[in-house]
Amino acid sequence: MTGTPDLAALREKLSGGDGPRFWRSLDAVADSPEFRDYLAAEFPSASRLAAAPERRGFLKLMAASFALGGLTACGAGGGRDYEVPYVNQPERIVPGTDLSYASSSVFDGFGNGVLVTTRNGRPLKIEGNPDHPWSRGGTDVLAQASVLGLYDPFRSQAVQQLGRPSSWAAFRAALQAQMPAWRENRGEGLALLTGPVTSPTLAAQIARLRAAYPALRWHVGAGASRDGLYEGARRSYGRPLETLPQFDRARTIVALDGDFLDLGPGQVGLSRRWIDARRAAYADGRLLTLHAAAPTPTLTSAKADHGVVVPAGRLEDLARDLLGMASGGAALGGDDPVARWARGAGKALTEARGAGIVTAGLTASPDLHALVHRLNGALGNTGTTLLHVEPAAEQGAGTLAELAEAMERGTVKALIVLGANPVYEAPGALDFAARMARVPLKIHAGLYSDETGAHADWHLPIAHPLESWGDVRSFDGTVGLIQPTIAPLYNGRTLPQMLAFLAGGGDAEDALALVKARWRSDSEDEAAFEARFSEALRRGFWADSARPAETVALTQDAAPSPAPTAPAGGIEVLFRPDPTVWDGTHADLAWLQELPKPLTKVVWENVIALSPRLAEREGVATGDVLRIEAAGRAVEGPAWILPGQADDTVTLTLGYGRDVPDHLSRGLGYDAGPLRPVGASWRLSGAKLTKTGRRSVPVTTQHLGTMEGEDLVRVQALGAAPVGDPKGAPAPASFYPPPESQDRWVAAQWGMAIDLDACIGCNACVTACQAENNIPVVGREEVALGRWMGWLRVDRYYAGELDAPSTHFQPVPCMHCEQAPCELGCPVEATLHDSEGLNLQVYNRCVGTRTCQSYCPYKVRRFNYLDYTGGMTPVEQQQRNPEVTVRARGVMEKCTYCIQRITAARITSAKDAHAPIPDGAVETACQGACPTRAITFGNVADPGSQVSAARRDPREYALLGHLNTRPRTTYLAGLAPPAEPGEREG
Amino acid sequence: MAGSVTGGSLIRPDETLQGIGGTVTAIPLTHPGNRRWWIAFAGAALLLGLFLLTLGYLLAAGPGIWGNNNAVVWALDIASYDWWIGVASGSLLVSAVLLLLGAEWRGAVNRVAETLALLATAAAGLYPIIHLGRPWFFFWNLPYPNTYDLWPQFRSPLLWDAIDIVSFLVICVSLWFIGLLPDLATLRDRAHVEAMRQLDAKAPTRKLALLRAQIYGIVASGWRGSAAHWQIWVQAYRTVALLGVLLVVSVQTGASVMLAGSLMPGWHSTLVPVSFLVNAVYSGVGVTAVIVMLIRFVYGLDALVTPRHLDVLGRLLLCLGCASAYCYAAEYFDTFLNGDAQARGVLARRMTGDHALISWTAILCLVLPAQILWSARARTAPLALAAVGLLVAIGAYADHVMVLVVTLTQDFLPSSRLPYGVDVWGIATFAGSVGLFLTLLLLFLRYLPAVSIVESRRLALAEAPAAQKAAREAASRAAARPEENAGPGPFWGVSASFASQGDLAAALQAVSGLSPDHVHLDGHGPVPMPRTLRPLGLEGRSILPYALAGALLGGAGFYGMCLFATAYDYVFLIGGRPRLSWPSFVVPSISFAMMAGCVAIHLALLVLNRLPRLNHPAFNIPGFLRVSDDRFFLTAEARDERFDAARIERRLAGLPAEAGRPLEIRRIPR
Amino acid sequence: MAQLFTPGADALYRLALMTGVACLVALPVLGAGIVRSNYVTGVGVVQPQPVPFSHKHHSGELGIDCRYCHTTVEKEATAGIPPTHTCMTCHSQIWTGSDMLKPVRDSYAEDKPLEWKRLNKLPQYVYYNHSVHVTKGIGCSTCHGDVTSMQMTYRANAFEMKFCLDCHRAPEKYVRTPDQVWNMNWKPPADQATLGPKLVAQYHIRGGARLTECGICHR
Repeated sequence: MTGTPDLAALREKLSGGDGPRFWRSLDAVADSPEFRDYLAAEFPSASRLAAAPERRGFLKLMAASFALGGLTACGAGGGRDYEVPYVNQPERIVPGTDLSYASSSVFDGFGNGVLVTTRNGRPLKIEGNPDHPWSRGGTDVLAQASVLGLYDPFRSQAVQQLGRPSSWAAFRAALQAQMPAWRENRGEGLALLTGPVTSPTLAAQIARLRAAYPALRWHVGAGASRDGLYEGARRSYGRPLETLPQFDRARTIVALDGDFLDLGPGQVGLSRRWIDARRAAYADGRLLTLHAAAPTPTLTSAKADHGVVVPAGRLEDLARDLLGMASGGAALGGDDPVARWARGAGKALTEARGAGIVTAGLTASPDLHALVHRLNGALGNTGTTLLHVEPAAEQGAGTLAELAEAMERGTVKALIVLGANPVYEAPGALDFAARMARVPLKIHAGLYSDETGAHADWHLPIAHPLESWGDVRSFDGTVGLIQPTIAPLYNGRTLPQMLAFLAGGGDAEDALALVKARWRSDSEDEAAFEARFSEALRRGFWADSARPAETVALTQDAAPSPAPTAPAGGIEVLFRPDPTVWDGTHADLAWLQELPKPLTKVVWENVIALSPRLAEREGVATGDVLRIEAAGRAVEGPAWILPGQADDTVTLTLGYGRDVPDHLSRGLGYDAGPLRPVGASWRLSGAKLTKTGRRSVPVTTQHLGTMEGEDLVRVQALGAAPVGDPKGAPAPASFYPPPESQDRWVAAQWGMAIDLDACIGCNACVTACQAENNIPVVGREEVALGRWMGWLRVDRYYAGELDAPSTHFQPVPCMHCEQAPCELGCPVEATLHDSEGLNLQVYNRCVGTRTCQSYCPYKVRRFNYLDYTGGMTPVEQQQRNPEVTVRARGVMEKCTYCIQRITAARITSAKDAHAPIPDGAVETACQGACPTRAITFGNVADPGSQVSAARRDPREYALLGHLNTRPRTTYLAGLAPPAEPGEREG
Repeated sequence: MAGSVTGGSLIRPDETLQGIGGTVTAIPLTHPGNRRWWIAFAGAALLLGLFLLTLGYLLAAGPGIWGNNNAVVWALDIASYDWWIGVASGSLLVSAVLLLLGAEWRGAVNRVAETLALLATAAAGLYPIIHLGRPWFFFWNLPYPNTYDLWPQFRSPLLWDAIDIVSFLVICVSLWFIGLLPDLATLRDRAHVEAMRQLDAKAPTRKLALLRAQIYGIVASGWRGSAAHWQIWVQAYRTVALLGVLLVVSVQTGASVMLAGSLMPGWHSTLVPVSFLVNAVYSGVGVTAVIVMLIRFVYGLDALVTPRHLDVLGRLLLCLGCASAYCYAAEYFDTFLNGDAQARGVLARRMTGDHALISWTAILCLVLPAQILWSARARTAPLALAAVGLLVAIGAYADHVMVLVVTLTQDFLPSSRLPYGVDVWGIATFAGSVGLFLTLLLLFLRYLPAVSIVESRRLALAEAPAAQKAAREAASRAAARPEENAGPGPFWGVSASFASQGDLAAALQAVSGLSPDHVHLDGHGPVPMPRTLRPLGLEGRSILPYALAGALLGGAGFYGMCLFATAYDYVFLIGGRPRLSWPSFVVPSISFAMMAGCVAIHLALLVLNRLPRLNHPAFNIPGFLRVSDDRFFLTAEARDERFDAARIERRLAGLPAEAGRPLEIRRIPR
Repeated sequence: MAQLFTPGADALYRLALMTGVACLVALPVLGAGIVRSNYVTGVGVVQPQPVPFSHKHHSGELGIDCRYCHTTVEKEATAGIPPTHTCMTCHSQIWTGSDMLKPVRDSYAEDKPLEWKRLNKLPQYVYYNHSVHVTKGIGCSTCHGDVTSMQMTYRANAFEMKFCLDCHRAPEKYVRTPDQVWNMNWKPPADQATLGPKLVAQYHIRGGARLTECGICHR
């Protein structure tokens, strides 16, 4: 290939104003022949033959791995042939009826409140728990996908000794033989490694264990640890603290490398609080502006009203500049974007003293965190808009590095790894696997028999949270309870059970009793405790258990002095948790693998993101396999040119390059671990980037395309003329008479409004839709062919400059057009309208002409080109929602507005003497999952409904409204600050 | 159009009726060029095997074996369908229009065109079924009583297409068969002669020869070239052709509305039906030209397919090439001057996008090659014509791919853009369908007359001096006397043979007055005999009322069914359209009307002619087999006891030579 | 000249033609008939069951209410098959030694469910809700037939889409007063023509177009 795209010309074109105002990805804007060559190379035409067989092979593999489990379940084919009633009907379980339990989802040890919908004793769907004080009804992708994790055929299914199937009894016997010796030497040489522990019960068990073996060393390791954050707090306040921004008291927000909207344990609660505050501000005619500076684009920086790209090494300088301005110093000179941004942010912060928020993200350096604490202190924000609480996670454990060192010294005689995977997660420099080999006894307990399991003498399956009794703290410290919704499928034990055994040596204790023992105070009588406990269980959390705000005072140490600047030359490498599979713990979940990453829309792998400028300089095209080298170690992965990435910076994401035989995640992406620095740092300077000459084009669900001048995503600048469609105007002219008047018994006219200002692109809706509607996973090859099956996609558009664009997200479900073009084309009435305005899809009538999709201007329909559902293992089939038809091969499918939920509400209201369906009684899966409540659904014919109110908003507009399809799904334009002279358009 | 053809003759002057029959029938009966045929057949069969393989894989795995994706849901599957149906429409239109215009030179072309139409329809007809996600439910597209109480969705252009293709198949079969009927009789008689020869010679293959004659006989349905047969045949042939022309318009409208019914940019221009029709006819003529040139070359039919035919085909191609160029130009001007941004975007992507190669292939192949036909020399060069035809066919295919794929790859939302690359199994499916087409074509060439014998004979009688001379010579030898010792009665009747239609007509005129109550007169001959109709009293007999009644009843019935189903029986909300969406039902109703009319004509042809009748006393007439060759026969059938054979014989024998005197007079036993 | 065909050939040929045409008509009719036959639909066919339970005896002769066993019919989508426990409420007292009831006692003792052969099956893509039908005045016997007369239970209707549509198109022909819903011998009363529409209005049943929309049963 002759060349890389002429990015300079491209940039000029965009800044010169003749580029499309909104653009999708680099290639879309470049109208040059070189780009077309590039594309030709990216999408070679006839190279797709092998796709289907490979995918089928993969499904077979899944089936095979299931067969080991030996669980038989419902067969395929039409209908059950037998009725099998209970012998004794259990209380409350009514066959065919939903039953919901309050529980908690677990994210890196942190909890979020969820409701688990079960049917016939099977957990099917996770909903947010609206009463939970932290998560307030929102969920994230990991919580939504956890129900798949329960049925995951890749889960560890048996106790293994040296890789061979064994039993709990054998394990118990083997350990009991060792325990007297342990007790004798007070546990000398024992090492316990866990993930972050927020569970009070687990903490109590660890304390019990440490009491039994006083010399035992406890270490905590996590793929994405919060050590840097706590270290920053320690430097500022002398102790580790979690920072809780109070957005509702804020007038402006500055996020430095900030990830409060990004996937992480705090995402659900933080993004909800942020959007609530932003909405309240908008109601007051203000904008809760977000200033964001980041070296690599994140969801937080994508939502920024004023964003800037800053090299990671300059973030501390920037914070220092802001601190200077906050302390009354002069604003920075210079006319580069960073200086301009700093002036704007500094001005906003100083104007809003005591009502500003400066945050730094998980991956920021301890220095930066410390600077941010001082900055907030200087601005008077600490204690007003920023509260500090004791971290939810137990502190006081050793680090992974210390453990590795101890193993190297040979002082570790027995290593017990509970729910962690250090062999994969530990930075390459620790050489964990080799050091672990020096430990005589290695015990690993995990959901998966992963890399660590393979290196351990004993592997023990732990119970999935949906099978467990337990408790867990959320980000703010609220203790949520975990209750099982199904008996353990694979005979797994909970971590407290295992710890109780290790501490006492007795038989497995009742997991529920362990939790109760933690919460029952000695003085409390049995009945009172039971009442208290069952009330907490019903609600899903202990009321008022959030950590109290701490009063903090900055230590007297001077602000961190400027660190020596990185050696000139060389590439800066940033490490980030993956936005779908996080640190790789969940890498075997096919839903997460096939979930498009919010910014790149890449599936089934991770990429090496680099800036357009760097790509231009190095002659790199998307898909070139790059080699990043530092300190004698190297990582190779495909390049992805990412607008908004800092120059001379590449971003590697964690969670890929897994190597567990037969597992789904095997061979996907590259492992960034070898390059990761040891300790709290998320960046590495002075790396070398080379092209390997190989190519491997990542698979993405969204390709290229210019907007051709269309305003698909609209932005409402505060104070500007409304950008929405005019309200009250007559409908556009049509050939056809208006529909006959709705008869009075029609329950509702359904419609949806999506607030683009609230959408943070987190994908929770996409995963929720997949879980609710039995949407199949099709595999990498099929997605590469363009056959991704999601009913709801989140489009990502760029606007503005190439190097620092603004990013917009637009979720696109079926529009349920009143004059639906698709319906006209179907020769068999498989798609048609009902009188409540739903565009129905009748799967069993569909013969698969695909006319509907070819007529659909929004391309929201999905076709089962191959048998995507037939190859599912029986255990995975257990997850299927019985209220939704599983689509066969050759059938078209699409978003139904969750008609099964509408029908349930309609039948309820019909039985109730036809009472109207109350507003909010029908919540679509996407709506329910959304942490920022961006989606409103309801009866548009009822002027009092929330969706009607949203449709009256002057920001409301129809996508492609000029086509006169009259969509029922409409959008509310995103918000932007009032345009200032000299400000670029956003 | 025929009038514009100047220069050169359409038939060699030395062609005789017997010669034409011999040349053409020799192909199916003696298989000249056997080796070449077998080689070609092996190739075609190989492709057919590929087709079966592909279909097997397709049915087992699903349409996912093709490269279609979420955006490009239609690709080579629908392009191939549109192309085949285009070729079929074009071929049918050529044949039908030539027939209706009475172009006397069409004999050499229209059988091939009709066959192409039929076989291309067969190939096309498979696609709407196999492209489905669930092909085993294809019949849900058709109205039939079912336990779901459901009708198909009559507003859908796809349903129109289903009705269209069924109608089209019926009309193609009908036109092809009607045209073939007299030629089948010729074949039968030739085969019969051969079988008798082998019987006499006790040849080892005599049973096979007899079987062959009988098979041709069954298919020929007892055609004996009676004046009444010919009269109805001529009308039926022309009427079916007329229905065919109307159906072609309806089919191409249906196929284009399949795209134009949407909102998609690049699809919903009002010009689409016109350009579809033009390009369809164009590709049909192109493929016809290729195949005619091939047959001419392989079987050495230079005598029947003359340079003047080539010239006419060339002019036709040139004319359509210009029309096609006009359509492209109009589309571009219209879109760039008048269209919306998306439509302009689609046109720009066609020219410069991922599929520019396909687009340029389409435009260049459809517009440029035909331009060499401005040269008269190119027009008469078979190779040039075949090359142009082939390029046009390729261009038409590329055009369909371009129209479908470029629009679907990216329409309104940039986010729904998905790249599409031509895929191996899609090509295999198309190549396989070509294999099916070629296999059937080669079988046709081997077992059926590739050039219309009847039409060539009519042309010979009109234009070739040799044929006229042969008739005159035979007539001059006429020395008929009544047969002396006719066998014992009762007789079926009396027959007399003649060398020309004129003699027959004169003789019929002469005997028509004799006791008409007792005698049933008829004439038989190898060509239509309009001059005999008056003496036979058959003037004014017409098949048109049947056709009209059939078409009207069928059309109105179908239309009524659509209205009843859609607006009364099971009312659905479809795309916000009103309950009585009456315009939606016009296209399928017209197609159905054409089919119903065609079926009515076919029935009328058989019933009015009392066919099929395999055994008929007329076949007892000695030498009657020459009725499908170069002889004309008069039969006077006894209707009752008072039949006076001697009187008729005397009257016939008394006619002056070359003005009705028979060559032979015989009494025919019952 | 010899004839190529004997005179009899004509008759044969015409017969063959007519047979062909007749087959064209007859085969689909035959196919349609087979598809609708009881052999295929299972209507009226008694299936072997683990216990020869008689609705005729329990419901018809003893007069046990449907809801005694099918407990969820008024509240849930499914009517519910009684757990063994329900059988044993009586049969721990009466017929305690009966051989016929041995499987029931075994089931109860061994905690192993009885496996009843399913009779009334809808395809998986059809979503039927018992409770809404029952509360809107559609009686059991409209779909299940008069089970009180069935010694061994069998399927009374084929449950083809047409069957459902008949009622959804004209619910007034089938709707009953609430007290008649459980009446297995219900025949439309003489005044159904006037009573029906009244009941339909009273129950707020949306008949006609709304109830025949696809999304009512399919999703």
